[in-house]
Amino acid sequence: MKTRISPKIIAQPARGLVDEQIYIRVSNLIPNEKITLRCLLLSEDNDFWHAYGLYISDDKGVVNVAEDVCLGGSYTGTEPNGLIWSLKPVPGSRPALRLRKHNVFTPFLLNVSVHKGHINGDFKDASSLALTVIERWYIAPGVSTVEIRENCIHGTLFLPPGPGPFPGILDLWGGGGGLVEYRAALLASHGYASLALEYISTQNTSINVNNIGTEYFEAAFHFLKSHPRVSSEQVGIFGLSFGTSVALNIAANRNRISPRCLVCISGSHAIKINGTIGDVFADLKKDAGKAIVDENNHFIWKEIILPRLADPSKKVKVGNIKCPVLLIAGDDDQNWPAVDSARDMGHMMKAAGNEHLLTTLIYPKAGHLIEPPYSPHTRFSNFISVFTQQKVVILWGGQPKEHSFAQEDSWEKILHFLYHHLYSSNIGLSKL
Amino acid sequence: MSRATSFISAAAIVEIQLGEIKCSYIVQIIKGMAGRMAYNAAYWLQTVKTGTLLAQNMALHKRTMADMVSQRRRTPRVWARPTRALMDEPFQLEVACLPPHCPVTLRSTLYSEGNDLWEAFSHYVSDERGRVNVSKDESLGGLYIGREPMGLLWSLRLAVGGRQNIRLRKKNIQTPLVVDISLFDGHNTDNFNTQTALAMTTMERWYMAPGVRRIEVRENGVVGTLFIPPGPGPFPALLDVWGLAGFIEHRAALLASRGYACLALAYINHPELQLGSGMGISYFQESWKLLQSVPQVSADRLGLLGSCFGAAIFILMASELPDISPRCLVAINSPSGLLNPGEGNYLEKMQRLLPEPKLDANGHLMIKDAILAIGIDLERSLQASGIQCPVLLVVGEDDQCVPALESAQRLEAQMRAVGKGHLVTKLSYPEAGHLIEPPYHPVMRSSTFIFPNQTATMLWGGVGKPHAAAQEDSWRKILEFLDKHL
Repeated sequence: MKTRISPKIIAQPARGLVDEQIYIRVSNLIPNEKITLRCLLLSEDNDFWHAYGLYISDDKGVVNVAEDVCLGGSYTGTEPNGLIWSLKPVPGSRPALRLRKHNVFTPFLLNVSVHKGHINGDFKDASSLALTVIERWYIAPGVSTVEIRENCIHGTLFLPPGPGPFPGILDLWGGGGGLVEYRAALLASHGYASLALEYISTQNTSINVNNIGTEYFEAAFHFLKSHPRVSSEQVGIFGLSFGTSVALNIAANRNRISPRCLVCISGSHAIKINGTIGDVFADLKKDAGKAIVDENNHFIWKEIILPRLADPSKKVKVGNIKCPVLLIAGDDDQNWPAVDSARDMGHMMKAAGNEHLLTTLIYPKAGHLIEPPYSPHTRFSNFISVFTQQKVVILWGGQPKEHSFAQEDSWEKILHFLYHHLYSSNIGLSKL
Repeated sequence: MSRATSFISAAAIVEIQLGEIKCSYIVQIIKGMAGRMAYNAAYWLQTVKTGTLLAQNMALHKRTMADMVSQRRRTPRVWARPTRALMDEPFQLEVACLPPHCPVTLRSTLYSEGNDLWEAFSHYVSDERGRVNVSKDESLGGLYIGREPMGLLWSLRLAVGGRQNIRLRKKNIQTPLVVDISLFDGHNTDNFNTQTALAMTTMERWYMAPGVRRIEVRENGVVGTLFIPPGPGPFPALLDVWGLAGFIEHRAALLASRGYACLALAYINHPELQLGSGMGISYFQESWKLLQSVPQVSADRLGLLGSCFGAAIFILMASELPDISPRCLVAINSPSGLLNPGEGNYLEKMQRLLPEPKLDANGHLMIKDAILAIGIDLERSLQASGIQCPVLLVVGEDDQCVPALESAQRLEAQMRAVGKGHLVTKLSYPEAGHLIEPPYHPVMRSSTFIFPNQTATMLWGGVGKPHAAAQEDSWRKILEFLDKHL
């Protein structure tokens, strides 16, 4: 009795960083056989996420995801990483979820399986022909962390292996608050001493938005700059959403800090921090009525900030910025008027004569949450409103394929930008 | 951290007590320390409360501390790709942001489970762009020369000053070996601990791919560990044995990571083996049946893979036992052509056969000649002619432990004599020794071996680069052979 050789599925790299491309190859299939590839993940919040693609093997019984065309499922076309970026909660899950990693020291575990025939999303009874497991890490081996709780600065510092000194990055997230570490961990894995900073906290009362103003961020910047393993002349700021506004605010205040470069994603300069963050939120709350609720009961907030672009007193004086800025926005951003702000910022900088510092990347049909690749695209999700402290569902925007392209493309450009300005530029350590 | 801390704190206390601050003295000490210790000492000095007086008077600010740690203008970057890989996967190593035409040393270090430090180093010169690419550039010195992409792994050896002559063995194969690669200025050969590395990167080397299941087997007297690839299967399967050194799992784990359900079988030197029942044929027959009965195993797709005496036993089984019908057999440095493990109690037989230790000029044990002497008796030698399946013989011609080459030649001759010569493939590697491991494993010419009555240094044979090349080439061909026949 000769048993049939079972199909074999290989995914490389088996243990890779989250921003590395995936190569999936299935062999030992029957020629021209219909199969479904499925990727399954259990999140830290105990939800199952999955993605699947319908393929047909070639004459040799091989499916090569990087080259072959996906005929349907969670994505279509030739998408080497589609099984990851098109991950969605399985049918029957809680609504409005977002996939985020809280513990950066463990990887995401993905089960990639091969199933007979073209399955339409219901995998309850479908047994797999073959299976492989891959790990996706936010942190490279050797990266160490230091919990920072000094001078009221709350954050986690991620240090690449080695004596350094390394260029530094102050990593700022948005109004969702908390201590979000995964991007800083990933940046450290690329050679940057990265400080993930917490500045909005609902639990930790020492981080109270009514106590935090630009001095807090400047202090964090100084802390990073003067850390023995950080190269003091090579510190940049990386912001997303509200974090972008913070970055622009402190960079434009030229007497205080001098970042080497800024990466600003999905934000706006039309948020001026005059007092505390709490003041900013109070001010925004006045315009909360401008929020639009769509037919799904999802909140669209971009209208709250949009009118401010017409008022110079409400905008950061970006003409004062003295370092290169990489500005990234998605034109389907429903949360912030990122594209309009980007254009306005361009005008302001042109008028001020520092437009040569600005590089703008606008991605069609990309939404607000432009995260490191290949994070699954989230068009809307639960959010605790900073205005009302209530749980709402925010519409972030974006279409999966275009948004994932934006993440992949922008990240590559971000890494080049950071390398160019923080590593390879000739302004080195002046103290020696 | 603790050594530096206690030193500095002791010094600080003494100084404060004396009422005198000898700043330069402390600075000198910090300067003399290597990278990490100096950084820790410096950082400690900044943050410790009791040291503020000291620090103030030293007029040292944080920047100067960092200056002592790193003397370079711009931090070079070292990176390996992939950072997390299986043990048999190659990696690329690159350096950037160096000055052009700069001599540097790359040093790899690894701490074994026994806390021994292994190290290797090589010398390179950066190109006009200030880059080094280990996969493409030539090493000009160190433990290997020439273009050796993986040299920093296979030339690892126990660091001077620690224990010597111990094989690198990982008992817990579910965690990776962690290899640090450091970059130093200039071409150095020793005293790395007193110098500051310019940069560093870390790699993890794994024996097990994600999803591979490890199951300890204690059934019907069979002792071993079963590794099953992820998925429903059914998978082709292998029985994996080693020689008299005892129970080794890592190759079985790697084979499972490559798609084979693999049972690493213990048959000697294992605390849970019930020797009373005798390690006879029945033990191996039982383990064969057990492997066949595993639900994820394709029962008619079994193979045998063994090293040294284990391989000899497998050859015997395949040749003389009708119920053992492997699809293929791999034998690495087996003494089988000249040594018949015989029937019945293998362990006793082997203990009797183990010769009186004879030492070579270096005091290393040479078993090979003794086996050659025993095996000349033709009637005692193993007849392999009953084998029905393809056989892959892997031979290190410089094997000093068993007469691998002579055995392989005899075995081939026996098969040819009965018209089965076409089943035999022989891979013979000049200058490779006895311990042909999966690729990039550190090459050891000799190491300590613990016999029942004594401990001696066994001479395995094998010379650095050719042995490493043999490991790489043989593994690739073994996998191709298994893929073809299983």
